[in-house]
Amino acid sequence: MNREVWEFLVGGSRRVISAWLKEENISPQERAKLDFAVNQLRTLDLGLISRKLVAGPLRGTKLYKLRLRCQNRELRPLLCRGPIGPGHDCTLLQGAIEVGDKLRPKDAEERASEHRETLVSRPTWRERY
Amino acid sequence: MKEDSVNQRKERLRQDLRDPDYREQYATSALIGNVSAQVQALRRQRGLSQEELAKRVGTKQPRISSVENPPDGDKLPNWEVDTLDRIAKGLGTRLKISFETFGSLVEELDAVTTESLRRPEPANDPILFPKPPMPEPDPTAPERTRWMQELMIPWLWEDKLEIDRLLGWLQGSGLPPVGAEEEPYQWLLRGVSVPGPAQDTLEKRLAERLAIILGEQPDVDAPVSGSQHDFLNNLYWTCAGLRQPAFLGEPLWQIYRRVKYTKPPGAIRDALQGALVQNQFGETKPLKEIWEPMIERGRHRWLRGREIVGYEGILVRHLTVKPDLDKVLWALGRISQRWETTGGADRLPEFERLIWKIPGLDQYEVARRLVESARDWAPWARPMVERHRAADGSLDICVRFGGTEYRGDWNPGGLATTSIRRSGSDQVDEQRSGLSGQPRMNLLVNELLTRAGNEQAREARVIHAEVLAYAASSRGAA
Repeated sequence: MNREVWEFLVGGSRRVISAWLKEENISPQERAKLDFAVNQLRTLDLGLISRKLVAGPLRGTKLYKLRLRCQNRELRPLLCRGPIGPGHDCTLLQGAIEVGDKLRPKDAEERASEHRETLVSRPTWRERY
Repeated sequence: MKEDSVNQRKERLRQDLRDPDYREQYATSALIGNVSAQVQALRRQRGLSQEELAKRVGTKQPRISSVENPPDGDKLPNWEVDTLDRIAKGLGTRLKISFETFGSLVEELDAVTTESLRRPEPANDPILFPKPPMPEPDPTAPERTRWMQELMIPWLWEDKLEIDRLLGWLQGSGLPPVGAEEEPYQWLLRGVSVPGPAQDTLEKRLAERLAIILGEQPDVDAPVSGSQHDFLNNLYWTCAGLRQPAFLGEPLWQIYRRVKYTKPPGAIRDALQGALVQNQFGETKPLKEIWEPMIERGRHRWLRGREIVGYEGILVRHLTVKPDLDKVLWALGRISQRWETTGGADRLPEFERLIWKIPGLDQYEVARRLVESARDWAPWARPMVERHRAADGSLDICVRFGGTEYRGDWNPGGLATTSIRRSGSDQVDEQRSGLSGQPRMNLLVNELLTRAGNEQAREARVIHAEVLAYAASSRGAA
């Protein structure tokens, strides 16, 4: 059950996760963790991926979050199933960092949901992660 | 196109792995992630719960859980090679540790998959043993059932996952040409219904594949293009028809936990309920959250089943998860009390059907415990012993249960007789005993005990236990 993992393109051109990696100055170790987690999403069925790694759907949304503890911060990239094409594909929608039970940026979930909606109406606004 | 993207990913990883910080963390994540995923994959392939694997390994369930869901951090979890080795053996495999180049991670990029993590058990190891012959379709089955078996047996026997085929069948594609009244789940269940021990193997392999689909959270996003409701209905009813809790219990429970705050159609809830009855996860979770409320309150806040479904749930738990006759008997007692206000004796036939489902009721010990617990039942449901001594000294003792009546009569100067009037019959099967002279209750009770003890009918076990309990209490009173 191999799935594709996509990345949302803000405005149809800017890779949302790549931009976030730069903005947050994500270290090579942190990116290594993220890349491996994404690869697990790509090649394994969800039942085999540790529930500590992927949580969701978050209450009241169609969003999931990756939970990556890296040295002194908690990365929480948000993603969804689909939302276009085969239901088992995933799309990374928004980068986020959890600080004291709260996400940064504060509106990360809203942004991710908006990106998901946008993608439904503009299916070309994504590229393979 | 797809090959291009694989090559691009490999190239990107090759570049990234040149950075020492990146590659060391990536290698650590790969080590942890691959071990935990493979333990889960093999446990699922074997149909073992975490508790069962822990038992095989000689450790506790939380230890297995911590290997499958390692604490996330920058360091390796505290796994000992000894523990991993024992887990490997518990799964019928060997642990292999090797030192590799970082570059080999590029080759592993798409190689570690759900399929590639699986391993055959030693008995099915093709290098050690010849592959057993593939089972034949049931020659006595109707033609369309054989047609389905010819599709499913090679698919399951080959033991490649090929989940897409199952997804197609669950949506009704590729099935025998049938009318709308034939649901896909019926064909899937017929497809694995072959004579002999092969059926168990086929059912387990089907259950493993269903578990993968359930783990993909089909309730959130169905992995199909057609109707999600039809798909879920067929998925859940297929699970309900299998009774493979080791494979299906946990993923079904996760679905239940997720959907119990939503409002899917009643038909889907009924299908999920059927699947949960047959495939229970853990000793206490469904019991406390589903079966007990159904029995105590006659309803459940989300599922539509009532007392009878709750009783079925407790009965299947007794059979598949934890032998717990006390809980089954408790359920009967509560049902008898609940039904007292909604029909009472009118519901006796229905109540008796519940009683006859108790496994092992033909064994004295089970019957004895039933009789003991029946002291707390509503009066209309209890097995009854009535005795009567007339002024002339004649004795009459009567025991009724399950519509069957056992009776002992003894008139002064005459011979004692025992008689049986079976449920639904007016005929009386009378036997004259050798007892004569002045009637004595203890002798007549013994006579009735002998008569019930010689009977094969299941009611006889209960009546025997009831009479024995009565005799013991009479002696105690005396």
